[in-house]
Amino acid sequence: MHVVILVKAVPNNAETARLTPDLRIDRSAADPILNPNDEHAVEVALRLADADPSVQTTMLTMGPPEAWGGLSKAVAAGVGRSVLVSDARLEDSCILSTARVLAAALARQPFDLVLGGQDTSDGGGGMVVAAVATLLGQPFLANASEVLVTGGEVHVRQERDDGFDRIAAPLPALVTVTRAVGAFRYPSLRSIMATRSRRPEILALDDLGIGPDTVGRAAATTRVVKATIPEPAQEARVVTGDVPAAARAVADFLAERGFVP
Amino acid sequence: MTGEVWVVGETDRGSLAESTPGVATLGSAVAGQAGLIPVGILVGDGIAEAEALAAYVPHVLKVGLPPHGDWVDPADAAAAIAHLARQRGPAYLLVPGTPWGRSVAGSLAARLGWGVISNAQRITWDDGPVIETIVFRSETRVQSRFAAEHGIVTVQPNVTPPVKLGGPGAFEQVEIRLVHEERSQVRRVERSTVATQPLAAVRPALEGSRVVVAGGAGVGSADAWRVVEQLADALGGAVGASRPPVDLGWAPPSCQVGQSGKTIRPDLYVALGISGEILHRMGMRAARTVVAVSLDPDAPFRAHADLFVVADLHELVPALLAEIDARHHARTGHAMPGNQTSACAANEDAPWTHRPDPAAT
Repeated sequence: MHVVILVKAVPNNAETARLTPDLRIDRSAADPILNPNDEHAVEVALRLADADPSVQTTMLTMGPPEAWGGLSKAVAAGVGRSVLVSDARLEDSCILSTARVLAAALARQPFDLVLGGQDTSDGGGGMVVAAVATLLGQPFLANASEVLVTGGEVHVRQERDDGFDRIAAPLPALVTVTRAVGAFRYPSLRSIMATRSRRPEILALDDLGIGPDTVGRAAATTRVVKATIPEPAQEARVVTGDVPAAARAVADFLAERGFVP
Repeated sequence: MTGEVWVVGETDRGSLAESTPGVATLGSAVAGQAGLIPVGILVGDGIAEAEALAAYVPHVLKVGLPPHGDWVDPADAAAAIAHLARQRGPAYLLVPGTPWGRSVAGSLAARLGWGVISNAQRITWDDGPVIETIVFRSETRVQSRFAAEHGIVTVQPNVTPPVKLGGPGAFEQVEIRLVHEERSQVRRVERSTVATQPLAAVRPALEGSRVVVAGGAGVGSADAWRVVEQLADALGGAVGASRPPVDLGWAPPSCQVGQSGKTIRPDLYVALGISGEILHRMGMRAARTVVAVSLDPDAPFRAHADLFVVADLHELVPALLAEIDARHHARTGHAMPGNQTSACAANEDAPWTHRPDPAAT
């Protein structure tokens, strides 16, 4: 079975993440890391490979060459193969362009199950995998809190207000997961050292047979026209120190405002 | 400019999902500004859901699909809506920014080849829709536009208070035939309903509650979640949550406050173990008073709360409960019943704030 994980490198620290003067994500402001929600998708793939050594895992991403710096920890944790679609003409790709590129990259390799995180910490749209599934004409199962592969099908649990649903589809299928599937196994220093010379296969637009006029800035369906950073807010009254005194201070505060006697 | 603005309604187990009315109100407002016609789209069998949507948007198209019961796969919804869009040529599609809505919007973008902008906070009209979103910890407000004269927007649930139209809703039935290859191969194999816990029935609902006590990742585990409920009960409030406790199954999705959850406006919001990232605060920033308890002295709530307590919530909350109990005891001569047992106590152990005040009788 071939499992492909769709991942994204995102700016490390949301604190310093910002836009450039021309309104693009300033990738120089923060180191790239593996999108935190994608870590869980990697973990699901690694567990499938733990359970069945014939499972082959491939990580697929699109981004600038620097993106690799954030993704190598997934390789250290055990992901088999990595593919980075990188091409200067992909800059400023919108959600639709991104989905087209990932779908084209998936179409040129075998896959039974494609896994992704439920959304990213920078864009946050949570729509790319759904769009990729539609472009490939394959089933899509979103926000899985459990993933089970059995009898040529994938079964997924989705949490609901009053319980849960289980939905299923034949493979090949695309699935996004929530953090409930389990925490990412952070690689040991030894495996980080052992894999640090590994590099992804790099694909350019020409390798995918995609014309440059259908993706990137040339084909962007959306554009940012303005960005405003708000003034910092005023700091709260801060309570620190020993717990009984802090609890009294909180109770006093609540009493002042009439929430407790 | 002529044309339509479509609002895609979401159904949830036989009802119109609570995310939808606000999106419908926003869609009607944008259409009004633009001189476009607002139209609601409801995919599924339910007549009641279509009527409910028509209470917020004057014209609703109910798109029938072969029966799925009360479950509509997002890919089937997108296939049907894409067919209808090719027939009627709407200009813009607004979709709730829920997990279901995001799946529909992503699939629609691929089917129609349209641009898609996510998590709209606000939409204004300036010769085309201007969509405002908020990104990063710096809370940068970003305005985006579509390159073409059409596009898809996912709207953050609950940013627009729903406004009902005057009369009763009516809808028009539309038949879309999907060929076999277009049908989603995803099927629901199990629907499980968990019995509601007794105490949840006596706690106020999150929306509209004067007091909300919410927990975050800092609560640490499903077992520890009880402290959130205990403080909520002691303050007579509802229980809320940031996204991690919901993703991890400590709290039900209906508790979630924030960008992908609910937007609330309580008088008092107590955040336990929540850092206060913008995605969470989007759901509670209209709260009148905010108290946040965090181990991280630099958590964003420091700049966005009225009272910011740097403490381990597992030590602070029991001490605070004892303090509240003592004050109540001093005033009435009675201990606080709600604090005697666990939050899973029987029904009659309603929180003291819900009982007639003995001092007043």
